Amino acid sequence: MKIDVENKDNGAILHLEGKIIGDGVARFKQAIEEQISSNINWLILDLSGVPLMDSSALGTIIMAFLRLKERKGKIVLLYAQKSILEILNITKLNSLFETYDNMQMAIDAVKIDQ
Amino acid sequence: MKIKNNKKRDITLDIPSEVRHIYLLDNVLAYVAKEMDFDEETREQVNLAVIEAGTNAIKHGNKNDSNKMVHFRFNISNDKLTVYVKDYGRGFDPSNLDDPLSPENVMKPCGRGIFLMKALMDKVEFTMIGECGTEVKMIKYKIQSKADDGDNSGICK
Repeated sequence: MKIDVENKDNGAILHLEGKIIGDGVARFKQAIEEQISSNINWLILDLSGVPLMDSSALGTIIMAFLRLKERKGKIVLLYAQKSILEILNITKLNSLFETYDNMQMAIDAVKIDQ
Repeated sequence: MKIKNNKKRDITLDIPSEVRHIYLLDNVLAYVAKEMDFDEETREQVNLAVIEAGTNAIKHGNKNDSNKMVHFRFNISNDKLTVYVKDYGRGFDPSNLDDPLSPENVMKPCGRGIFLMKALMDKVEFTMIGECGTEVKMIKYKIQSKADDGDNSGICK
């Protein structure tokens, strides 16, 4: 699993590639922890290269959602594949996470509440 | 680690209880899905359900003890795939789990693994083998093409 971090203003875009399963979840969690610890206010997860994530990875996104919410920040999902959208739908997490298919719209969404 | 493929179309995989081996399980699942000739959606469903079962067995069953193995058996037949996942944990009460869809639980970071297994597979059963561990049995039926089943019944279930 590959993670590229793109820092912008007071937030970050995480470009993720590969399945977020097994010990990949710990690497994913660490990358998110590092960003949140650096006092960012928003996160965009670029999931265009992620065909699958397990329930622990979903839990990591929920934790990020809650921690950013505490500081009036936001996390959104970008380019989620059909398989990921299906899991969000099954777990009803689609009611919690905003998903976008356009980078500029995702950036506007995280910055609008700042 | 041991992978065995015998003439009965049973594939077995034994892995030590370390989550890094989930990627090996993922590779075996790709092979099993190819053998089953599952469509893409079914392949993704089985993939995630078995990965959830394997991760649970490693983390909660065997408590990440790499001296304990997790055993997988994939029984391939024409109309269905049956997957067995066995660990050496003390088991749990599957009827006493929180509903992750209820409003008070939807924000919790944990507790979706078994829910997803049940949602993605056609049948999921848990057997507690006393002090010897827990076995999960999961079944996914195959959607037969008309050419395969020789009639117009569609779903073979």
